[in-house]
Amino acid sequence: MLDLLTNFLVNTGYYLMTYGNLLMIIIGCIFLYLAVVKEFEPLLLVPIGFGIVIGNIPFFKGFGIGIYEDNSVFHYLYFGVTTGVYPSLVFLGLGAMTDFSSLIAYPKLMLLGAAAQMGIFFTLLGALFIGFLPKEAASIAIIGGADGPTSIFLTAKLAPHLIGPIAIAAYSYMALIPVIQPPIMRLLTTRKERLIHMPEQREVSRTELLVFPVVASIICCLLAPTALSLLGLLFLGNFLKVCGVTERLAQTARNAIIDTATILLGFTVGMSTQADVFLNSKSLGIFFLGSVAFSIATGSGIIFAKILNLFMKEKINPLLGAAGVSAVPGSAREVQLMGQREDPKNFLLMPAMACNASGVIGSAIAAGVLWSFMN
Amino acid sequence: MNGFEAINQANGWSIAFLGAGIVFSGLVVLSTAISQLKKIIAFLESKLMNGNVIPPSTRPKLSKKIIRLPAVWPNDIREAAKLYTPLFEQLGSSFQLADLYRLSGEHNYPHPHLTIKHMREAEIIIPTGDGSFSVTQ
Repeated sequence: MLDLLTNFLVNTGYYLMTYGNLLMIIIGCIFLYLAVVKEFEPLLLVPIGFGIVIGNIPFFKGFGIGIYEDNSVFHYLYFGVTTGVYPSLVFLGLGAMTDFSSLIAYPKLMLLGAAAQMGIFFTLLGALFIGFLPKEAASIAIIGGADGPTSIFLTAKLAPHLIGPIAIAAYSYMALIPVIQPPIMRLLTTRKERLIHMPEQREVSRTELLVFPVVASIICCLLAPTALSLLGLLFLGNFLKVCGVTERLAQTARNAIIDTATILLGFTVGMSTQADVFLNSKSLGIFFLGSVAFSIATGSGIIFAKILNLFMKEKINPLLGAAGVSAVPGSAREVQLMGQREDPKNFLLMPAMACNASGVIGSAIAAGVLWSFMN
Repeated sequence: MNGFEAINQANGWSIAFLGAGIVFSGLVVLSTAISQLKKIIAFLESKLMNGNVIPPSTRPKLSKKIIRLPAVWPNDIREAAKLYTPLFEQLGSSFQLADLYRLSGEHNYPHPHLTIKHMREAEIIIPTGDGSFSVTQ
């Protein structure tokens, strides 16, 4: 009986717990704290934080329990991450939620979304410089797009062993937008520039809204067919929303589907951060490069807006460049807040949403392009 | 391997410049297509409606009263409401908020949605009880 009890005790998590597991559980709890108390992206950080806690409960290997063990429940759920199913479903829901009217009304602002993608390619060079392999470097670089699902999608295709750290880095920086972006925005713009008002958004007709997803999916998917599962579903979701005859499907996409995908994506990505896989020098490098990528993306959008202003009669508020990253709607909200802090009558939200939406499209194209280059 | 040698070995410079160029040109093409969308739709609609296309120069122009607005929008909502008087006159004693919003947009009033909201809060515009609104001042 004593042997039985001893065997049981040595198989418990208490006995198998390592300092690494403990550290990761604390990190998971910090994520939960940030989500619940500080309300930093709670829809993402709660599933991820809880996943980190559960994923770091130690267990006896070989019982088919862990996320990396064949035939475990979590392994099956993780299948949606490694195959890119969840990110694509998130894009479907995102499309059904997004109103592209601001993008249609301010098409030139799409260039700011394009400029913000430069962070991705600068970081690619940085990651190669530090010593990451090309496929790993490409996966790390996409963090600069500030798009969690796209980062996971590309990493699953190119460097599946890095999904945990890359996803955590991408979502952490998305949650930390209110901390990271404002100092960069203030540093790169003058007060006079921050006071620039944007013209009122013109009315966008239903036909334009209807034609946009079709035209955009043809143009973008022809350019980067590797991003078909992201962009195709994004524009399908949007078409369901605007066509007016599939409201029930649009409702499902923007509620049930995106919520289910977000819960499973966040939880399994959190679980994939098991201490023995996650705590290494590569993860530290990824976090460092991720912050560089995000900062460069923010800065390049702002600087490009300033360059455009040298040639344009009707000036653009350079703060909008910061919304060129695809963190919807966090970065647009920061632009609006900073604009209003300088002048309460300055309404930048709608043009900032245009930049944000183009950022989503841009980072998905960038992911497709990187995938093509690496294969 | 690391440093510039690693970048050269992985063809990093070409991937970065070409990749950035492709993403940028893709979005430029999309942006150009979207900017022309309105014109193309108008062209196709006019063709569908009339069977033939009316050149823009020969289209009858709608007479629109020009309303001069101040360069600086007043802070006081009652002052701002006075600038809306021509629109109230045009709409009549009882009107829909959607019509007021549409008309404000047509005459390039700044931030009409917010101003109408403030006018409602200040009870300059009040509901008549049948879904319409009227002006109190």
